[in-house]
Amino acid sequence: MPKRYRVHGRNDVEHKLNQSALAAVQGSSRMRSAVFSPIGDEGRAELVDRRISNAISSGVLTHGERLPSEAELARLFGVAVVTAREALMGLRSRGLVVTRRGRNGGSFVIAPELQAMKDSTSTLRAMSRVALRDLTTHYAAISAACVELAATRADDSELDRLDQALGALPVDEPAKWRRMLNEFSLELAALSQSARLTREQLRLQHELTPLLTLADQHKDLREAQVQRLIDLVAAVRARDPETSAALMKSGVREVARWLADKQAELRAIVPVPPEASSLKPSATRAP
Amino acid sequence: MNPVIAADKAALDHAVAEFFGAAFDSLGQWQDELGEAIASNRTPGHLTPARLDALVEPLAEITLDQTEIPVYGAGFIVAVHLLGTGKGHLSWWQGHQRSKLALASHSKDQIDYSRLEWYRVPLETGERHVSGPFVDYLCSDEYTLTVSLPLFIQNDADEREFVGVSALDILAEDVERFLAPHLAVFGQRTTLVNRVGRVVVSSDPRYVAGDMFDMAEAVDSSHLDGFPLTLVTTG
Repeated sequence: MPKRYRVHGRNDVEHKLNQSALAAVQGSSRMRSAVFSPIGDEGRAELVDRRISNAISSGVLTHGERLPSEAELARLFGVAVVTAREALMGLRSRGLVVTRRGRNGGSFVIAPELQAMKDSTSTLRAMSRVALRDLTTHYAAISAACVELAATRADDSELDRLDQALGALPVDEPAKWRRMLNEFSLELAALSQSARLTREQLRLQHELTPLLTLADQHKDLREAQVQRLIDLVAAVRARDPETSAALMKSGVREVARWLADKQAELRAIVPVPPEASSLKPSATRAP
Repeated sequence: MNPVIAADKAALDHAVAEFFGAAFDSLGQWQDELGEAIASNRTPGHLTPARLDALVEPLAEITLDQTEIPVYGAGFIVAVHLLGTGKGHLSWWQGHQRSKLALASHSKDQIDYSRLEWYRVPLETGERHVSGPFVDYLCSDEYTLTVSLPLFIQNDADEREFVGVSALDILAEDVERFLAPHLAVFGQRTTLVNRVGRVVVSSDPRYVAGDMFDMAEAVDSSHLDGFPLTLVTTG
């Protein structure tokens, strides 16, 4: 059995390592070996597939990690080689694993968040500057209208709850950030008492989220966003529609500027092919 | 107050109370049955979202079928911890097609409803509640009033346990359609406001559902017994 899949025992030399590092090592390798432990005679491709895909989505198997070969997987899971092959096919078809042939070939893990990141990157690169600008213009207008109304129509108890939600935003957890921020923004928009504007806000949020996740890794940006929201909620609580709207617009402008810069940066690395004439289908290769 | 107007006021109070009373009665009808069903399905792993939906659907239909009040959506929202999945579940049907609410398809399935008024207040007070009008971005996507009722069961340890909230949605415009005629008959400029002073419906042309009512304008006000609502007259 390859060394990295050896089950760690108490007398292992790793025991002499620093305890917290050891706990991390034992935890993750125990989880890893649990991934590849025998499934049983009734083992089927789907069970193998699911065991591996769960490990990928929970981060136990990491992006770029090389999976055992078909033969090794079959032995580890206690299934036929053809079953292991079928499982790999399923994982490949869902984009969780990629198989490369050749000397350094094998099956490699593709983590979902990183795949999403790749998708966001290609979307932003391929989008025209005009379209990006118009999207953020639309978003600024709707968001500003929502907070302007909220300033005149929100009740103090609703603002208290908004302040609580603001305090609970996970600034230190990029993985949860976007989801919680979106929920917060929706709650704020709903204080406008306008169903139409809130629906529109949600729709635009969906469109922008894939692009905005590119910024989520940067802690300074998350912190800046929290500060902007603190100022914004204060303006709404002060019943100041003009300041609320102005703060929202300038906030969206900051975001728009960041996206435009990011777009330019991405294009500098891999230039977008010139748009072909309308007679030819446009083709942009994913990075 | 002129005795004739007083009689109309009593009639108005009665009409509004009957409207919301009917909503609560509609939910109350199936509370016990649902409570028993949940209690007997409590074995670990057995109470799944699908199982809950199967239990709730015929009951929600009773509420959706009634014709006394214009119900837009109805169902049961389970206590967040109960399913052991780390998140809650809404067994909810709404709209003309009585479509089953599928939050995942709108990326709304991660929203934590435990903070929302229609869930939180019945849980905290143990009492029925009327929330709104508010923009219901979780269920109807419309300007809505939600009538909700907490459900408690006696668990195995013989303790009273909160298991969730039965609720129904009425669109703000349907509340207007039903109650405005009663306000008109009364004659005086009258506004129905909620517990934070937000307008539910009004016969005063200056006020529409959603506006914050200026209590300084009130000539007379009467709290609606048993509901977090007040009828205010502005002259």
